[in-house]
Amino acid sequence: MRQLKICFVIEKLALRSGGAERVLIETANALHDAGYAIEIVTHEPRGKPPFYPLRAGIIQSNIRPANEFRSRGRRVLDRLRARFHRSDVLWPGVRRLKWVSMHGGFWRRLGRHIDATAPDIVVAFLPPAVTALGLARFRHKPRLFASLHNVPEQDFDNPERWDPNPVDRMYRRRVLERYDAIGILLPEFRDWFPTRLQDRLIVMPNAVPPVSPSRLAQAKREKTVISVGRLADVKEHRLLIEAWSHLKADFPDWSCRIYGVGPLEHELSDLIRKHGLEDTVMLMGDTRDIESVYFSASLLAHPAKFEGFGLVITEALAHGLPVLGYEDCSGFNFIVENGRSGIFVPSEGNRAQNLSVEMAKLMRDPERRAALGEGGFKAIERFAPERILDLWKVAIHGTEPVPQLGKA
Amino acid sequence: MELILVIGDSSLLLPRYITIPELHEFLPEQAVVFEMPWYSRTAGRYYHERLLEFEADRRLEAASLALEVESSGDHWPVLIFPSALDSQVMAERVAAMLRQMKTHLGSRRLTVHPYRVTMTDMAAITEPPAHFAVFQTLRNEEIVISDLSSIRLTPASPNIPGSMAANQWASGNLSSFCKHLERRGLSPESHDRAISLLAERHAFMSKSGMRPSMMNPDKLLESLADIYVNKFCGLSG
Amino acid sequence: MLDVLIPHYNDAAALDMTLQSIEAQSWKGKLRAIVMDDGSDKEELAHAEKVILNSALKIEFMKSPENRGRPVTRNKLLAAADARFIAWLDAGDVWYKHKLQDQFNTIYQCVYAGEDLNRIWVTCNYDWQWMGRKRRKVTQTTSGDQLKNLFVGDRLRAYLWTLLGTRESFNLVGGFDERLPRLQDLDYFISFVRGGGRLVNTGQSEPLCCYFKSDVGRNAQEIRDCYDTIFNKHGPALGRYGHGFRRRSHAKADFVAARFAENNKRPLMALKFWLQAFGSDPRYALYRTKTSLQKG
Repeated sequence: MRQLKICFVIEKLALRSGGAERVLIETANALHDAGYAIEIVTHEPRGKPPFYPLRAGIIQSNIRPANEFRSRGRRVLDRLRARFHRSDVLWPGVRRLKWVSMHGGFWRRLGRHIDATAPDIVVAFLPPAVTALGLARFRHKPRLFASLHNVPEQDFDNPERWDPNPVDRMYRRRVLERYDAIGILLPEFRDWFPTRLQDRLIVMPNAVPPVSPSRLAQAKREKTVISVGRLADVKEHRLLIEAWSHLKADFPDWSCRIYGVGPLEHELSDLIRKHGLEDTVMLMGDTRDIESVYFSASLLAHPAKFEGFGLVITEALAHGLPVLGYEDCSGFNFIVENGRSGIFVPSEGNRAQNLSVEMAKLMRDPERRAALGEGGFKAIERFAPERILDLWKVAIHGTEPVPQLGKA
Repeated sequence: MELILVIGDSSLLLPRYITIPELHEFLPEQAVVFEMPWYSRTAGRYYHERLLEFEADRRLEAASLALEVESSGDHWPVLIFPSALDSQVMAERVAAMLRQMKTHLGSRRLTVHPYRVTMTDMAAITEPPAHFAVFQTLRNEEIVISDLSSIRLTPASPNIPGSMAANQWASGNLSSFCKHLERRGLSPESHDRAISLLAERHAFMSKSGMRPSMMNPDKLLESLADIYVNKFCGLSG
Repeated sequence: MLDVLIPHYNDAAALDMTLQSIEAQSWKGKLRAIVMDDGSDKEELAHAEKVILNSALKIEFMKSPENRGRPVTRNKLLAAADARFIAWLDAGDVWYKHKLQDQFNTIYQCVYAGEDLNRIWVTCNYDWQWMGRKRRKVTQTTSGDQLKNLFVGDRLRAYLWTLLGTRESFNLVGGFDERLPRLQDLDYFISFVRGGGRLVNTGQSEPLCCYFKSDVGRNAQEIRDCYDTIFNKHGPALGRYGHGFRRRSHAKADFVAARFAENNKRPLMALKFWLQAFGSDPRYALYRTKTSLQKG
């Protein structure tokens, strides 16, 4: 019988295909399979199902009342409020009112819901839910766990991310005190947290589902270098394009494919044209079948500045693809071991130049690529779903001492 | 799990000739004819050759679950394959089906019975290479009783095997009966109907102390054809 | 193959009747009954033990040293079960002869139709026998929005002893809510349907079991409180049907509580619930009053 009730809280889940949403659903599914009773609580206007499939038996509760049942007066008020929420008004005094109007419903309803359902553990995913759970009032006493999925500076200090309202930023930090444990993705994120919270931190990397070795053996690798990620500043695709301009002459039979969509699409295609790389560097947009992309490529270049974890890197390694990235990129340097499962590109000096040098070495050396691919496949065993599930069990039960995952 | 297979003559075992209570008359006490409730009643729920038409269908899955669920130490499910002995292909398909079923089959002593009904232990069928060989033995060991009248009837319900004898007699003589009808310028609307007419007649005569099986069939059939024509068409040959 | 889970408390005679109805089933697969005594008095317990000894069924008997209530007992029974299929029966209610066979037949049909057995429960129509009144057949309607019908409670009722399903299906969602001394079935059914489970009825229109119903000795306020716990717990699901529906559900719960109060000779309490119902859904309260006056 399912005895322990776990309640996952995330603000929005409907049709969301992000990394954290995927981790939430995979974790919920794995814990359901392991015999826990799972409920996922959201607070969102849309009543759509989640993007990733959920196991039967997991209960979803959207605690935000549906708009269609609100009275007309209430809806007019809601529209006015929405306009207020979208505005940039953040004057002192008003900002608090704005913040309560935006988020108050979530934590008030969440508090009531926790008392009504009496879960044993409540796990909040991503800062909005962490804040709401931290502020929610309830008499019931579950264990509280905060699950964070980015670099802490991004989640807590960057005014661009989440709600730019300073009130929200203040509460986001303050509520961490209330949690029994806090999950972070990488050991190096520990340093950001105040000392009194340090012993509540648990490093919980994302699970990497294994790829069957037989499928791996069948992979036919073409002379392509791929890069996968949102076309955004932090992913630094421009460095890859610049590096390619140095390689073009020496490797005429190689091509470079960049998968992903994002705000920099035009800028990047201009850059490709500027270097005259239209024939060999391609922006591929989104793909539903990333798996066969991983199987058909020879290299993954990952020039990102930093990573919260780097799901792309683990996925590439799982598919036997050697990975290149900068030595100072968090996530990358946690997952990859230099020379065994991938190559660390020096971050000092001309970064694009450095990248092209390391890429050229690998592109010339198929044996080394094969060796790295094999090494990478083994390296991600420590992120095997059953191992991560064990970490989750520790997070849920609070058993000490918390086993920590070492570096590769 | 123990399983009884009844393999035999289609003219005897098809649902239109024999009903479940009739079957139970000559099966061991613990045997329970396995029904497939997902078929409509008219489709013959215990006519298991339907299980052999498996293509992109879950009938086998449903059957193997049902077999497992229904059987207990005291009750053995019975599967009936009317034409499994008629053709090699059919026999092979029965064996293939048994192997495909996830159900684990246990062993049971081979017994034989008149009416070309064979009950057997299918244990060896689950062992792949030998499965067909077992079927072969099964064919060899069956006993064919030619003289139906010599069969001892169970005193408790003499009518049941009686109706079986009638059915068999009817289906055996169907073609010559049809010939007699044709000679009178008629073709019977359905074979089922002709058979039931013949079987009724047979049962009626047996009840009145006659032994139709011992009589000259040609003469008997001729008179029956006359009755048929008279009764249904109002014409007399 | 099948575990029949039976909670028992202080009614050995009823247990005897229940066990006999299992013995008489036409379904002949492997069956085991698990009876859990929930801290009965010494005398009744001894009597129950005798009943179990005399039964021809294979029975596992579990005892709790103290009375822990129905949800705890049911959770213990569920944890103790290890057969592939599970059916429930309360000491005091009975199954008719073909109940299991008809329900298993429905299960095979579901397999044939490609259903995931671990997400369905097979229910059935049943007789409702009030003490001192005639039996009345109750039909379980499984078409339409099952969640809504469970909240309303007219077309589809949450009675565990109507069910047959795989053990997995009964573990699809969490067990019985131990905060609910009453109506834990309703909560369990609602969770099952919210978790993606579905109820299926047999093709039989005849009732397949009988429920002997009595309101006597049951605390109306406790029942009303349990309704509240359930409505709050499943508030997000209930809310999807709108405010009107929520008010109607509350009013209906008030009427159920009022009936219990009335049957236990507490007219003032019944009036309180009536007023409460009138407060949440006046139109429905008046309609119910009118129909009950017409019936006399």
